[in-house]
Amino acid sequence: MTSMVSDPHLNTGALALDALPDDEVTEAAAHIEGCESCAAELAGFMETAALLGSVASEVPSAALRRAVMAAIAITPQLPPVVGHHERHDRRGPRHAQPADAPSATDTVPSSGTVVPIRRPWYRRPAAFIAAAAAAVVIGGGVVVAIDSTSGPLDPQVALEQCVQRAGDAQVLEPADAQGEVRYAPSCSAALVDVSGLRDLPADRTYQLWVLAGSNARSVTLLKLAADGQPQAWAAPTQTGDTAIGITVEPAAGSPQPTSNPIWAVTLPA
Amino acid sequence: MPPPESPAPHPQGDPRRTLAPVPEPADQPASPEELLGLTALGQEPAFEKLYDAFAARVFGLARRIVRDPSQAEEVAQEVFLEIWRRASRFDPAKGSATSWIMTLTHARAVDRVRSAQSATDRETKVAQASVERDIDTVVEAVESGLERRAVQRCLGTLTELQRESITLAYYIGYTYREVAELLTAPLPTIKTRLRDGLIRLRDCLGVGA
Repeated sequence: MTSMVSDPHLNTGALALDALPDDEVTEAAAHIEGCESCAAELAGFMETAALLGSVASEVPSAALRRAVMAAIAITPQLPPVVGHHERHDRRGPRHAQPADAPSATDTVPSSGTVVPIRRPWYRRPAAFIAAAAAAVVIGGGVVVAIDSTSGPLDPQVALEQCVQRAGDAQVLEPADAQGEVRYAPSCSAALVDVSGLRDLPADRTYQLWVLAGSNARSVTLLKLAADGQPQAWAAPTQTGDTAIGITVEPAAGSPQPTSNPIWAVTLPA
Repeated sequence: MPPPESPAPHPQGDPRRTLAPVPEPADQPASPEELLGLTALGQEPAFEKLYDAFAARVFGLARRIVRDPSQAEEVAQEVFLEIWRRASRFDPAKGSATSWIMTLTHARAVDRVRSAQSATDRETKVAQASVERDIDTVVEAVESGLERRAVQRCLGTLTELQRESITLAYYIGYTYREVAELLTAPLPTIKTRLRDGLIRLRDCLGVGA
């Protein structure tokens, strides 16, 4: 527990400079979410930091421009976050607004409190729920599968680059939620990009899973960005995987899903 | 890639159709916010203008942090691809386009240096780093242009400890804990210095909160 060393209001500076270690970011973001003056201060600090960044200007090679333009020519764009502006313009405290994310008490959220998913969460939902209820441990209790990096290239970056360049990548979208999955079987990976996830209480986290039939493998805990910001993660996949989903779990994550998914995409066979 | 005049059909109905009509291309320079808005509509010419306006800043900041030019180019390419993909997510009510782009750049560059080095490597590097030289390099780079001069002048209004802390965190990508280690200061002190320093910089640069 690192927060004991200082007042949470002091985190805005370190946060704006990306100087907060990962293990403190979630907590700091949660505090700022509920602290209007902190949020305003953070915004001003980020503008200030941008000016600091601007003074390091250095003209890149013309090759970079060509590479970027070639890449965007084959890269689809994400849709806007629907309702984003409406939510932002309403000035009231965010917590008073209709919940479209689970709260701490929603250990088994009803459909009225989560992002609705009309499409089946994956091909055998009953089996999935049965597996979760029986706590069949498939992943050996490994909660964060790809967290430690030691090689010169971050596996996340490597997977993401592979998916971005893959000729067989397909963009899949959940039926009734924001975000997308860019699935490239040739890379054995899917780039998961979720939008509009609301901040959770400090004792909850979003957890990303890859499903193969009724077997759930934990991929990672999705760290919170500020309100509704996209969350992105490259998930390793295998032949036979059938779906990718997100559940709300206790802060340390769970070895197997303990609640219904709030977000899911079915992978093509 | 859809052609510019029919941006990205979307299975849920194209939400972009509800946006304002696309302005005719004009000779006067568009603001970064306008360019991002047009980029969100799939307009590659707008994206190209955005690239030309920000390439030096994005690459320069990435280079400052990751140091290696070819890695900096990779970071810059990632950043511009992300700008292209996420342009629709930019919300001008939450901050300027410049802030959005530079925040993205800084985060990606810092990700790169942090993932490239194991914790042990970093500790060694922290111990061996020459603080003075790194700071001097930054100050030397602040040499031309109104904006640069303003930043330089305002960095000069900070206390030495505030300036050191901010410089180490922002331009080198150290966490505040690493900064505390390097400057042998207590953790809360560094957090306070970063915040106080940013308050002073913000006010000096006339940045609206």
